[in-house]
Amino acid sequence: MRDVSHLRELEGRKNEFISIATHELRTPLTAVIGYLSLLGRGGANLTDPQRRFLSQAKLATGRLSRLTEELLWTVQIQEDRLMFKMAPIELESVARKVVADFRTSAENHLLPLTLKKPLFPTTVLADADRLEQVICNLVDNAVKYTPSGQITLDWRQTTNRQRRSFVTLLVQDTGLGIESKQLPEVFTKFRRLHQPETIRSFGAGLGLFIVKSFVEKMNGAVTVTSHLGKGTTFAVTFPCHPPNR
Amino acid sequence: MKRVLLVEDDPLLIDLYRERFAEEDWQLSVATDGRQALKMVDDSVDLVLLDILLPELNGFEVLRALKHLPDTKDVPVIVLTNLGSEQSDKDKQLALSLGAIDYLVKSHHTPDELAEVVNRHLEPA
Repeated sequence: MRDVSHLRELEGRKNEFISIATHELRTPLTAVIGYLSLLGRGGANLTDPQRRFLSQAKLATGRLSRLTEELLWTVQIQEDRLMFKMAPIELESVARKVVADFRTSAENHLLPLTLKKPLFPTTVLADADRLEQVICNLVDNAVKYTPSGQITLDWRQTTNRQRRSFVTLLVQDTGLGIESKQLPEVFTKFRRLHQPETIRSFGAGLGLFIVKSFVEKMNGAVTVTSHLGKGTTFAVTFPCHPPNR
Repeated sequence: MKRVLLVEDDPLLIDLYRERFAEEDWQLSVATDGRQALKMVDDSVDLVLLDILLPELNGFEVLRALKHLPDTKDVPVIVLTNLGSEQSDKDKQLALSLGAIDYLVKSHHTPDELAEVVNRHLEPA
């Protein structure tokens, strides 16, 4: 018993440390992002290399900012400090927005990114912002781990024995794939799989932990299937809304 | 001229916001701790930008006090912090329940965006 409470205390201290660290990271980050934005306003007066340096600095702060947010969410998830504003929302419209946001990045890597048209309603009960984050993380992951090939977002509808209907969004890539013995670990926080070829990969290993936590908080489920060298599919499933369609 | 009070203790951010807000048609004052903020707010202030982690009194305590005093209860307060999240978390809920009109995370907004939000709230309804 003492061991468990000791572990809990350590976990609490770790979370407190991350909370403080993210707050302390955000403050200088605010100044850097702020001054870069003020510098960017003088666009016409900048030379081409200066404009390029500015754009690279903005990309770097964007990455730092994202890492900071992910760390914060991780603590907030564990301490149950996140709240979810559940409302009916069309999964397809959120997926469409994410695909539009990622199109340029995918095309830069010569990866066709396709969103298939669902043949059934995709309305679910979820928090719109969190749902967008979930799909964002999955598409981002697909882009990172797919050196060539394509990324497809597809749909399934299922009904269980109680005649409850479910809608599933599949995020399929033709990328590196994951070894079956590593599959159970993909949703573990701070866990990054060993893949030397992960050419576009960076991050703290929090993206999929956040996906799973957010989806489960919204009464959904996420699963993964993968074939090494062939690609990976993440499936996010939610009960249809209203329930007895 | 509209009067805006920035309650912020970090010199780096005070400089940043001063620099940008000088372009606006506001009279900007700065309080660097919670107690000073309470002394500086009266009914002639049009808007307060309030940090949460502050020396002396924290932002939640300042907000609670402002909303209890007859002279200051109607002064709009925007919480501007690097604590918590704008989407929906308990810090935001607390700030809104205490009477803040908005909850902004500093690192999510450029000074331009912030000036725009302030101007939107300063416009007569």
